[in-house]
Amino acid sequence: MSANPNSYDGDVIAWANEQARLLRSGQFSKLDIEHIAEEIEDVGKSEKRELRSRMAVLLTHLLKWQYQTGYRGNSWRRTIKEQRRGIVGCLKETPSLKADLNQSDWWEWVWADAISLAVKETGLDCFPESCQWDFDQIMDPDFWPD
Amino acid sequence: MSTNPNSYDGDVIAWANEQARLLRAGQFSKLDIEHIAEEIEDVGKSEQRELENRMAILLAHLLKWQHQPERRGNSWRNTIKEQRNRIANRIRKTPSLKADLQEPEWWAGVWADGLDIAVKETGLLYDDFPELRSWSFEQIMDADFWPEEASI
Repeated sequence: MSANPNSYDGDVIAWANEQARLLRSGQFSKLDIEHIAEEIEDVGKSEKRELRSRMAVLLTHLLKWQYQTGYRGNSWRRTIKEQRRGIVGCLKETPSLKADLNQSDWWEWVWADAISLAVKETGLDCFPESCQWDFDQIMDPDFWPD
Repeated sequence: MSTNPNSYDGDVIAWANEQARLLRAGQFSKLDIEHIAEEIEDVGKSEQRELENRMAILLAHLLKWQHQPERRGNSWRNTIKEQRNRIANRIRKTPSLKADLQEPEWWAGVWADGLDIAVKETGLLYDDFPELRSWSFEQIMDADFWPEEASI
């Protein structure tokens, strides 16, 4: 292997320690700017992941509510309320997450997660191919799809 | 809330986007240096965590091998070989991990994790196993090392 031992693709711990040292000592001209910038852009990833997974769980339960009326009960109601509250919390703490909500790719992705979860949990396979609710409905405490 | 909306403790995505932009634009004097440095130091942590997990699994299986000879079989043998290979690969790719192997506290933590797994998976008691690490790193990693039951 001919990679620089302190390169990002080589020994990433050595890389990280060296970059942190260069940052703190103000030696900016020696920084591996692009890899640092990419790592910093990753910092919000766990917040994004949380929003996506909460939204998928919420949509799954709204689908179950709509399609399995016989199973409606407190457990599903509680999950729906809890996920709505969780999503509000995510958006309040990290308002930049709202950008994701404006992207149709994001909704396609979340909807696909929600459908696969709903198929697994209900055994049904009759769900719409794309989300037919808008964000305000999904989040409305009085919205219980029939 | 009176925090700056782009502060690290406020909207962390806005913070990250702004810091990445400043970095790429070379506006170093405006950077939030300390938080960037901390985040960068975290980058290696997942490598360290993986080494720790694999070593704990390897130790647990060596303990099982030693203390439950009647249950020895291909499954345990394969786990031991696989963990040895993967640990060797991690260390080859990230030689800085060797620093962890020099620290007695690191071994104490990993040994304790290995004991937890061994106790859970064998039904034996903590007292049945050595409280401290009984093997050297070279033994643990040696492809020909298959610990025998201690003669008591």
